[in-house]
Amino acid sequence: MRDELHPLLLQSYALYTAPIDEMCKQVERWVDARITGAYIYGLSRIGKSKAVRDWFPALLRESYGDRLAVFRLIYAQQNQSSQLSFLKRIAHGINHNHIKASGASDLEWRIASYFIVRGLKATLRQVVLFVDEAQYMTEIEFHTLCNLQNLVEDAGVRLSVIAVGTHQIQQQSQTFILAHNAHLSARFLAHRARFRGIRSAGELRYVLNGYDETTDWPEGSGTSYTKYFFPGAYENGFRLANCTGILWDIYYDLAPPTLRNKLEVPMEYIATPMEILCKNHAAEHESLDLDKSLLTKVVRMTNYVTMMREIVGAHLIDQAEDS
Amino acid sequence: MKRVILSTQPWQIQATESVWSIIRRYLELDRPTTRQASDICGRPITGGPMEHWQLYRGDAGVSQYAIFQKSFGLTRRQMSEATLLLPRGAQGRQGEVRFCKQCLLMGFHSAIYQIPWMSECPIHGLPLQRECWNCGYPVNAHWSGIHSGDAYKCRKCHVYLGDPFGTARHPLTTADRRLLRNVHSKYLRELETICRVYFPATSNGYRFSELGYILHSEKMNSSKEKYLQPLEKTYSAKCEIRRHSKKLAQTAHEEGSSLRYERLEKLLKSIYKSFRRNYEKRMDVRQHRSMNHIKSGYSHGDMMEIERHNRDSTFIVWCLLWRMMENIHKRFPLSYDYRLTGQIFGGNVQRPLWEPQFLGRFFGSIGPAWYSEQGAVASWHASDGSRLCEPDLWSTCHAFTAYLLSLFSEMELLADAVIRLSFVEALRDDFQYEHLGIKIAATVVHGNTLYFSAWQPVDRISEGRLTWGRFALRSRERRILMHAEAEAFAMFARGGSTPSNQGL
Repeated sequence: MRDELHPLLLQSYALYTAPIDEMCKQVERWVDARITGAYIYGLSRIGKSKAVRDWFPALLRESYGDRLAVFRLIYAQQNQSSQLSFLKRIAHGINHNHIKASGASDLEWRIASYFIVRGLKATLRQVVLFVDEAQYMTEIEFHTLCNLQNLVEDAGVRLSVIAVGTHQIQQQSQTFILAHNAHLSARFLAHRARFRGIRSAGELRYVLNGYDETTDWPEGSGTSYTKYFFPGAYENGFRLANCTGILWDIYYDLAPPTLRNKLEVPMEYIATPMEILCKNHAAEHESLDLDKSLLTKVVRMTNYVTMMREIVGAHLIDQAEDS
Repeated sequence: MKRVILSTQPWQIQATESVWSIIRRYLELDRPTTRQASDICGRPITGGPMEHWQLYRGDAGVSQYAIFQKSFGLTRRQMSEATLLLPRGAQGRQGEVRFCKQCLLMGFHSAIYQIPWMSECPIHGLPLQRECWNCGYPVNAHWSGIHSGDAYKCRKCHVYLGDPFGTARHPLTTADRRLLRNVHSKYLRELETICRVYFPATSNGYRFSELGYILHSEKMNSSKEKYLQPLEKTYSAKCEIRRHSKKLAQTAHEEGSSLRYERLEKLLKSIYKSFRRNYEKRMDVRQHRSMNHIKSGYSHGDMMEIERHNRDSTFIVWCLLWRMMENIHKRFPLSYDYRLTGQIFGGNVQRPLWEPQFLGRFFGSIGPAWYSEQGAVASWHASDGSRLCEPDLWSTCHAFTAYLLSLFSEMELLADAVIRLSFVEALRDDFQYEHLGIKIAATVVHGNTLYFSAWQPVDRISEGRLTWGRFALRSRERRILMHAEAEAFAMFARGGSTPSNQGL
């Protein structure tokens, strides 16, 4: 039997963070309001896709059970966007067996039927579709979603489209209004929420605590990631969460001065240093000293500094705050 | 294996919902291409005779639906309820769908509506319909082509006949499900009873087909009394035959081996007459088409089974029966020959499926019979081209043989006790060839193959060994043999003596 690698080495794990919790509550509010569409935007590498993939569907299923049908679609940008190619992408996203179709209308009806049937099965008669990378979606694709929504609506099922993307998605909304397609904006982009990064030492502690306590590998073994990589030190009381203060100071210091007051650390720049730490410094011995210089070195090994500077350059945080 | 995900979900399928209904929903919701549809259903659904497959499963069982079952996620129980176990002969018009309007509006059609004697919906109590309620055009299970969004529409007036999301929106209640399943299981029990009453031996393909033939008559009648009528007639005919058989056996017992062929023939004639009387009573001309089903009921497997059962006596019984029937038909022609002739010459005649082909000898009887170059039997001709046998006679003979074979367990006694001896006498008197001390009882040429049967006496004339065999002929031999046989049988028909060793 092939030995399995640790999920941390494969980056195939997901930690529950405060922003995810916040966003899940927001999504639940939208679902309860049976909105037609909304969008979630946030900085790059902040953990949106991971949240859409690993957390939102699972948490919605946990909250609503069979009362709701949830699907996820990763939008793939096309050189020439067309209705058929987008529909094929949706069919692929929902794992439909018949992706090929004789025409766009057939495929559209097929997908709508699928949503209707799944929606009728759910008690709330509601289907939630998360569209990841939605910032690249063009007008024709929103029109396709509009058609789908109308077909589904005719059968008494509500299709709620929740687009997830970067800040560009906000511009899309304005573009629709300027191009006299305000109904698209009103339908899909009227509600919005910003997916934030880690904003305080408390939130960072919560994340690091995930490595120490809530993670588990091999499954059911009760061995957290920290315990797995630093077994001796872990037994001696070592926890990554204990380094929260030092680590937050490092993020604060390395961030550009203009960002320090409203600092949001993207999740990637927290996860990657921890992964480097676990991979490079894994040891059996009982003492482990993670001093500031080592942690700074590890954070610097990521693209954190450059990225934060680019954020300042692009005024992304300002835009977000304005909106 | 990757799970098949379609817009048609397994949970939409209701209890006893028919394959036709599921396919209909699939065509509507998934709008597949022709290829996708054939991949999912396990066979092409357009351009072929799909109709019966969607409604009835016949002798082939549920194994033929393996791909379909897997694609749509049906359980084994759902699959067995999705088609009706009904013999082909009883299935009526090709692809005819009977439905309850209320159920169809819900997007649901149950397989139990195809039960021949079912006249109303068990859930709604409405009479079952066959036609569109708007224009009266028949609803059938035929898909001439996959047109987007047409599966739920009437072919003629394009009115929507139901809601494809109906079963998702309003699934059947537990009580309704139970009701439908009870009807289905009750039907299976009834079918089993019919099989047990009418066919005491194990039901093979042939007997099942005959049952279909009987049920076909019943399908035309709506009330249960009428439905029972043909069955009762058949049963009475069988009783009559049983009576005759017993009489024959008793006579044989009393007279021992001295029972003459004439005596046997006389008794068999009475059996045949009783059969034909019942046969004609319960059959109208339209239903004669189902005789083809009976003919096709003779499979090679059936023959082999009979051969294993009692090889010699089977052969002798047939030998005598065919000759006898031919004589009777000459004396008492059927009353509606012209209509049957029209139908059969209209292209309904298919080459019989059964083997060996030497049975054709006894059917053609007074001349060598052969298949046409195309391999299809249109009629039987003598070597000079004159037609020897009317197709209606041919059909009736087959029907009768089918009928008698169902009683074979009774006839076995008759064959063992009587026919063997009589046949030997018949051999001596009428048609036999002598070759190397073996009496060649009959031959028939099919293609380049000669089939023959031989009687080899052991020590007394009443005991011997009956065998048959075949060998390939070269074209010259074949021509000579055909010619010689024609001459021999012509002489036999005129009452002359049979030349021996001709053609062998």
